[in-house]
Amino acid sequence: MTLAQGSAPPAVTVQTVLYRHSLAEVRRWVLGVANSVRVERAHGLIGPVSLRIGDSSPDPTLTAVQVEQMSEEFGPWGVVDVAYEHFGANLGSAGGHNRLFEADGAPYFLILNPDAMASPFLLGELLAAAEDATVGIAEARQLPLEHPKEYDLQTGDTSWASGAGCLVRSEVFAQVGGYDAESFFLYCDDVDLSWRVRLAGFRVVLQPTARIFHDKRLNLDAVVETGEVELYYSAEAALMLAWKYSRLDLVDEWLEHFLTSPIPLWVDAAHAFAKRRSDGALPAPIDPEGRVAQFLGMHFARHRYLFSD
Amino acid sequence: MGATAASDLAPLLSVLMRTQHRRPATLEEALLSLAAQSCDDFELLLLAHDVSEDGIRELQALVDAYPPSFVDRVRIVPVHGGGRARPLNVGIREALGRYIVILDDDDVALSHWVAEFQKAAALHPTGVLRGLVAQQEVAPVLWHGTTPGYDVVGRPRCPWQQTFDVIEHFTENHSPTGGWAVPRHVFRERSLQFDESLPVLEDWDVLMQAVLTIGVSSIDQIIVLARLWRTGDSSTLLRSEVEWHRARSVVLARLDADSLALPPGSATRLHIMGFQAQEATTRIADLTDELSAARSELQQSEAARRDTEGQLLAERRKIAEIWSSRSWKLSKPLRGVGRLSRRYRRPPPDGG
Repeated sequence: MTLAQGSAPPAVTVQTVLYRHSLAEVRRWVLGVANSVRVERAHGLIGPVSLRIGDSSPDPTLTAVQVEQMSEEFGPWGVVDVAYEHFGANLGSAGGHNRLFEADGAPYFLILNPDAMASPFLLGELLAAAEDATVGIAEARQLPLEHPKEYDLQTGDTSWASGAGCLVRSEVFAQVGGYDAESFFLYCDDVDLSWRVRLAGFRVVLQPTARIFHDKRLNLDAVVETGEVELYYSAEAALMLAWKYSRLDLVDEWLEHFLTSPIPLWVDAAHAFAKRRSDGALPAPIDPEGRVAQFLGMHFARHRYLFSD
Repeated sequence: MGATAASDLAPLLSVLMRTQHRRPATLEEALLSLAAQSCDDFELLLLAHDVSEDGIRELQALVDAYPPSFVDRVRIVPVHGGGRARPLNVGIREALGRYIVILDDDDVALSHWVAEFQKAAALHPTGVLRGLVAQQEVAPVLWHGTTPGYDVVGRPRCPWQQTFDVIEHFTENHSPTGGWAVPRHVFRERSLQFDESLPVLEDWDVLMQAVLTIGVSSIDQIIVLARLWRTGDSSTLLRSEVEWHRARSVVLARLDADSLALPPGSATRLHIMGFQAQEATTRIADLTDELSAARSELQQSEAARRDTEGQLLAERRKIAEIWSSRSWKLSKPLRGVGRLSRRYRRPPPDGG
């Protein structure tokens, strides 16, 4: 990465939202981020870095002493501040990140899942991608299981950036109003943010050299198993996304599909959406011409491969 | 209290990672996967095979970029000359861990890789530990047109047998490296080493010797993701069928040289396999006979058809000769009178 002549390396805030994560996972998260700060500071690529840890768990994951210890341990590496906030409620991913975001803070903030570890060069590589002023969000590539959505191998352009690990230009986040936490609790909040960033005229790119280790396991069929939370919220989010991006045809189709599904959680999600619709509690539809929104089956980008047969 | 035994201080795993520093993109990822392990009871020996001094410095700089707590457990060991097995033997000599495990510089260990070996070792401390490997197809590309990287082109799959079966392993290796760990003392006590003359299958060779000596216990989880290169630099792609065949022969010859201790149940398995092979042989023989008989019948039918065709042709020629003969032409008027007389001999319609 190269910085513009004479410019100071940018400050970055790195934030995450916990939910019943173990202390070991939090420790790994902090260690990875702090190490990337250490490495990239030595290269002169990054300025002050602050960590913001939000906690939606029923009980606090960290104590004040533990937070202080992290500050002391990683301060010499360039982490100027470690802040922890137990929300006292489950705000979800979108709501949690909105709460942590500081509009008058660093020019960039990195959203990184609590079950992810930053590679040593993560921050520098993401900042390199974001140097281009047209880039609103720069996404990291996930290991061991890369997301199957397509991205342009030359430019990095992609339909949307995964919230598992992405660097967001703070002014762009503020300009588009942050995450739509009212509509998206846990899934597709990142798709929606990406598409609104693109509608605002910015690009969303994947930076393949910016790596994160996102802790996933494979079952014996070499497939990542879908838990109940994902089953419910991904269905709810898909319906919301179709509604918000003016695809009423898909709303009808998917409602029918979920309502008649043998999976009870999908039926529940469909009913919840239908109730919100009848209550008038859905967001105003946008992108009627389909300028950025992509609906390919139940994927929101073209996929290089499917995760299951 | 007595002094802590040296073995108590030894890490569980000595991870042997060969690298020729040709795949920096995947090497960085292999290291990240180790740094992200939930259990840190391992050391990493990065076996730099025929890597230049500048390359060694680059490798050291890469390692040093990881968290210090990880870097403390990594040693770069230069290895010169020899084939792909040479670095492994060097690694065994340098290793301090209780188990030897190989991880390629383009593999990615899932986060519970070490932890699963640790659990299995606690339950079954004497045998080979064997977990499952998933494979994912990738193709070399240039990121941003300049940086050597790869594109993932298929989903993860586990094409190998999930339950370790030593009998099946005589036919084919179902256990890629990364998925199994051998107690280090076996190498010392049995003078076991990787055959440096083998261009491929050096891992299968050691695995079979180890398993047949000390047995194996299974980890029923996928713990490693291996890359399957569609093109480019990979032993699968670079070696000819002849080399594979020769290597197989060497491995089998070594196993043939010793009496083999097979696990419980093997007698019945071998009996069934032998019986099935006999049945298959008999069936093949029967089918071959049926095929021969059918071919013979077909040939006879063909011969009969040709005879009939020949006769037909001869009769047609005769008829043609008659039609073209002078006497046939001269008798044409008489044949016309004959047809008329046959017509008038017919009974009249009703009423006549």
